Amino acid sequence: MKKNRIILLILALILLVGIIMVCVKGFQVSLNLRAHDTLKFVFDQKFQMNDITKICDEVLKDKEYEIRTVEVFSDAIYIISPTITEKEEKALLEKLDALYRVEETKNEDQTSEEVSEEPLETIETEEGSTEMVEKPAEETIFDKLEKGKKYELYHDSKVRLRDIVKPYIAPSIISATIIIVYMCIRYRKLNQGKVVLTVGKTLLEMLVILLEIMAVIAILRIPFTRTLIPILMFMIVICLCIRFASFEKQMEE
Amino acid sequence: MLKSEKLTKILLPILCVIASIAVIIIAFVGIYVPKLNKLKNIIPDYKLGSEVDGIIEYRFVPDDSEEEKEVYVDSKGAIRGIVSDGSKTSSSSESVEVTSELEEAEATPVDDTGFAKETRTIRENEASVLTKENFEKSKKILEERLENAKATEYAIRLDDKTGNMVIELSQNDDIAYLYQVALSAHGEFDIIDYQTGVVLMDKSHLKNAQAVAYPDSETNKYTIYLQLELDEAGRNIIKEISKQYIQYTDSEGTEQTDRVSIRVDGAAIMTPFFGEEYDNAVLNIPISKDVESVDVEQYKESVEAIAFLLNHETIPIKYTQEGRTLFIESTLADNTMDIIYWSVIVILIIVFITFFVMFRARGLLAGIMNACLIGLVMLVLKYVKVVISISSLVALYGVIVLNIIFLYQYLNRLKQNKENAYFATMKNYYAIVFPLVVVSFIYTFFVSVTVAGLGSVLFWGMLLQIIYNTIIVKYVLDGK
Repeated sequence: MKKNRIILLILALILLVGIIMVCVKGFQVSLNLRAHDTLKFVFDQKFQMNDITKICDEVLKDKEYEIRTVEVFSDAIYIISPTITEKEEKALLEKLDALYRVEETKNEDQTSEEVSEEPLETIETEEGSTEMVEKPAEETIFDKLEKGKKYELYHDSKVRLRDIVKPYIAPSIISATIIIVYMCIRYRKLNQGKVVLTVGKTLLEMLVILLEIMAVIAILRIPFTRTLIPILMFMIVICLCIRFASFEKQMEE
Repeated sequence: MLKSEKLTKILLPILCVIASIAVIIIAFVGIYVPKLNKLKNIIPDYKLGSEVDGIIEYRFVPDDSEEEKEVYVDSKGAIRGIVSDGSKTSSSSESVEVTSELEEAEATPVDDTGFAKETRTIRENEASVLTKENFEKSKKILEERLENAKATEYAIRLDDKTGNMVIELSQNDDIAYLYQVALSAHGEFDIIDYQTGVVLMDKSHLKNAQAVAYPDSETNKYTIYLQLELDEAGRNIIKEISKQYIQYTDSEGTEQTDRVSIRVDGAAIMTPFFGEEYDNAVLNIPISKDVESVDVEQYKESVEAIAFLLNHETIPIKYTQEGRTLFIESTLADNTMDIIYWSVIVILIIVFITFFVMFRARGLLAGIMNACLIGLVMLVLKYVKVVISISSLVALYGVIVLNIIFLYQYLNRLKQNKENAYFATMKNYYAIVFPLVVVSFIYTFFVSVTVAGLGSVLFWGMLLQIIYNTIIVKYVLDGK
């Protein structure tokens, strides 16, 4: 009895912490499903994923990010991060552009150094006097690369969780109905013939299990992915099978 | 007992075990044959879903283009049509046979409407249309279209501030078809006065559209029609149109033709005139003529695509594709399938050892049989081309666990020398796993890959489990 109380207390505590966590921080939805910025960069050649990872680590530092290979010939990438600032975009583009163009990059670096040291230059006018004129502005990476063709920054919206859950709703309702009807017939003699009690208790148990699992997911900040729903479904069905096993035992007794 | 019977009783289980080992090898290693100086596995690969393989990505943005156009405006200032460069036919003295079918011929322009003409800037999307409600509605219509076009996997990211959409599809689907019927078209339909451009009837009067093929009794060739079913008001409009848009001889003795233009998304699919008064709620528009019987299905498909569009709501926002269609690889590592493969092998080896320790010789055989069943399931999934999604992989592990539970119960009963051990186990086992049987059966019938993937693997797993365990496992372990 005391043991049961302790278990119940722990379960209630997990549920409470889970609810607080969901209210305060929500679920940890995976980066791919929530709103994010996507930087597309076209290499036009094969690349090493390690090189890209290194650049992303340098530029995005502690920020969460994902790299996805784009195109059939795998010559382009998507760098996905919750936000990519203009500064980060510039740094990423510079480093990605320089990655497989070593010689060109060297020349460009030299030019940029010269320009930064001497922003103004002296020219001799027709009258023989000298005049300070502004040198042409330094070519940024945004001028150098063709937007839309070589790179693009997208602000992608989230995939709604209800859209992910939606395909499971109809089959789950049909399955649940059949299972409940089965329970009503097969386990009608349990609980002194109170079918409603047997079914209601089982459904309540499954609901508690589902909520507990969700609470654990929220507390442990396990990312909510598309994979999670079938796993959850499967866990609930397995729990239901375990419940059925105990019903069978009761029936035998 | 006869000597031959005794021999059979010894040999048959051995053969079963050898066959099972062969299946395990085929499932996990494959069958390699030399092909072009290389060894090639003749066992097909898995058909991977978009979560495992990758997605096809489309980016759509609301069309912001605008154009100065001459339009017809009614007394309230509402646009009643775009001034057409259409025409009235001036055919010579050739007579046109009056029929109930729609006629088609060349045309030249004339203008005689009762509306005022104005030059206005026509935007593809007026600012008043670009609302959150319309963005949401557009997304809903696209989802409906994709679902009805049997898209197995899709996701739509909608930016409800800008209306931008990212649509992700699976490359296992017929992408070209989905693009044609669900994504590329706006879905507008109207019948306009070809000469003036005034709209005579819009989509609101359309009840249903379908493709039909009727044979010509003389030539034995088919005509493919777009069959439009109209409501009562639409029927009356067509009746009036059929009286007005006809071929006639003017006061100068020249034959003239007034015609209408039947349009889908602003593109004319036919520019007919009427031979006689048409009083029917069903309008057959001939799209392809003289089609050979072998080509009927192919031609019908393209007309069905138009009908599909007309049977769905018009998207309130006009979208244009941004950039190219891209294939985006999955974020799962390249070796994910290898990891899953090896993890399955490790689990099967652990089960094999555990069964051997617990049940000795029978356990050893049960371990082999268990691995064989999982191998069989994997082979069937390859051959029936079940799309493997993450949920299918979850289900595959589920099948392994289920069979372990079954074998454990069965071996325990055998160890205790219980009567009718196999059928007692079956009865008890299926009473317990009934929820799984239901889920596997129901989920298999759904289009969505994540749902069907879970259901299909469970379904095939449990079906093979019944057959294999009843025929082979029972015989090898029980000798009956």
